[in-house]
Amino acid sequence: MQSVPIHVILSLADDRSSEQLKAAFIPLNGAFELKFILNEDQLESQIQTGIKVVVFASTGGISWQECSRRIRNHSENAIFILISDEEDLTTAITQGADLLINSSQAVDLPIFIASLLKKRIPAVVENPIVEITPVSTKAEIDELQLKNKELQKINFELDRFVYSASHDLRAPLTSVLGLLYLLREEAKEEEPQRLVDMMEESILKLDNTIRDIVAYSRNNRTEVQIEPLRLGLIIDDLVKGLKYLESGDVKLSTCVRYEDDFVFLSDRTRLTIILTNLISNSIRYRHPARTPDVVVKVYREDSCLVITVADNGLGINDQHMGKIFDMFYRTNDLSAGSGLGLYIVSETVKKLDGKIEVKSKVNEGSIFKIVLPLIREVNNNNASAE
Amino acid sequence: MKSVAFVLLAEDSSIDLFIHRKVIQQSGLCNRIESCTTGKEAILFFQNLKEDDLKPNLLFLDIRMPDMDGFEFLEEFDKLPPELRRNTRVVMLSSSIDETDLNRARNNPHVLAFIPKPLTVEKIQELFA
Repeated sequence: MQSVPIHVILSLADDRSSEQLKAAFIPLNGAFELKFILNEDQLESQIQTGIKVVVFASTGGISWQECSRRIRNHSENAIFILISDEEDLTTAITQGADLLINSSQAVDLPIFIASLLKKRIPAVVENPIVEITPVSTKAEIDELQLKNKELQKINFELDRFVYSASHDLRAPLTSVLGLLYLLREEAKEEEPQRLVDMMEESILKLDNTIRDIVAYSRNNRTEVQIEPLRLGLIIDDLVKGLKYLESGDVKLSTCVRYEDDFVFLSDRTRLTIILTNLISNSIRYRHPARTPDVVVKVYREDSCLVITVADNGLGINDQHMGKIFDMFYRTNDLSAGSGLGLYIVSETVKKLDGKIEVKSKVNEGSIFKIVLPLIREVNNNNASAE
Repeated sequence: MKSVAFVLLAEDSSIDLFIHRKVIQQSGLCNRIESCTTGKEAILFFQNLKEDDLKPNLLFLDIRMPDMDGFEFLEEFDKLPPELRRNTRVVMLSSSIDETDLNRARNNPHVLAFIPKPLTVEKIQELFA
């Protein structure tokens, strides 16, 4: 393999430590043809001859930025590697270095150089010394920083999530423990039925939170899957899972109505999550003075698919309106839920590239409107021909 | 067992309120128990106290409540006129096992103790041990 000359700029200030620095580069001699630049004259003459790869390790004299500029004026494609323990990566990259490494990484120079050469001038090194993942360039740094920010955000959300979720999982459990304590302490005087009912209520709440967490995670993890759907079939299915909300005059089969006159394309799992949450909210926060009535509709509007869920329930107070879609936000009146339901709805709608809005009047009811991009409309005849 | 005159509960879960009342009654801690279901309501309770009213000796305070949580309550509590709050010590009562919550509670001058839920007679007895 042809050896690429590597220019090592050690000291332009006649630094006494240059001999020591030089010694540190000797092990690289086998892999590269090393040319040491120790002063201004050597620099100028090497610039004139042409420089392909330069390693800047000087601590005094000319600044590395100035040096990089001068070399690149002459050899536009020169690779400039900065060895410094002080610069930060972003500054180094934006001010003209291709790579920043610290002094302890100098032993890995052959790897870095091979990788940079491979990207910059592939013809020079046909067989790079070591195959490695490419080192960072400006564009890659930008991308890394973006990713880093995203990760920080995700970490922050995860922290908050774990804190809130652990509380919401423990709260019903501690309630059950408290009830069991009471049951054991005074089983004789207390009506056990009441304690058992409350335990069941707590356990259902816990179960609900766990379901919500699973739905949240499923929405985050899985790809959108489009298939032809009918509103009625989805609702009939999900209503079975909401049986526990039934009581007295509240029968889901009569309370939940839908208009089901066309087949549309969407993601079944996600639509089920959205509708389950909205419908169960409508039932859970029903008005005590009347039988709940939930109407679900799906229709085309311009180039969108619109789904609405309207109820005659308690309604949402104006002061909560801006926050109902926040993670773990619970309004005073709606404290029976996990505080995740509407957050999951809004995240799921986002995943489908849609929008959700809500109109509500206290004591009259609420209507949630979801607008999704229309994928392709399939009419009734096509669907039945499938 | 030491007893006090008046205990106030701030707790949003109706089941937990039921448990707290039962356990406090069993412990013989006090004969008057009142309750609020949010932090805001608890602040209002103190603000509406008249000079001659009996002040709560202990406040059992939940952390996670809608509207105003336990810690936000403590900040507002601190701003109340001293004559309204000086007879009351706060016992934080929560299902939280978060170290940050525990430390925040411990470092608050109004807080007498942090009790992890569920409340039991033994835990109440330990308060005065």
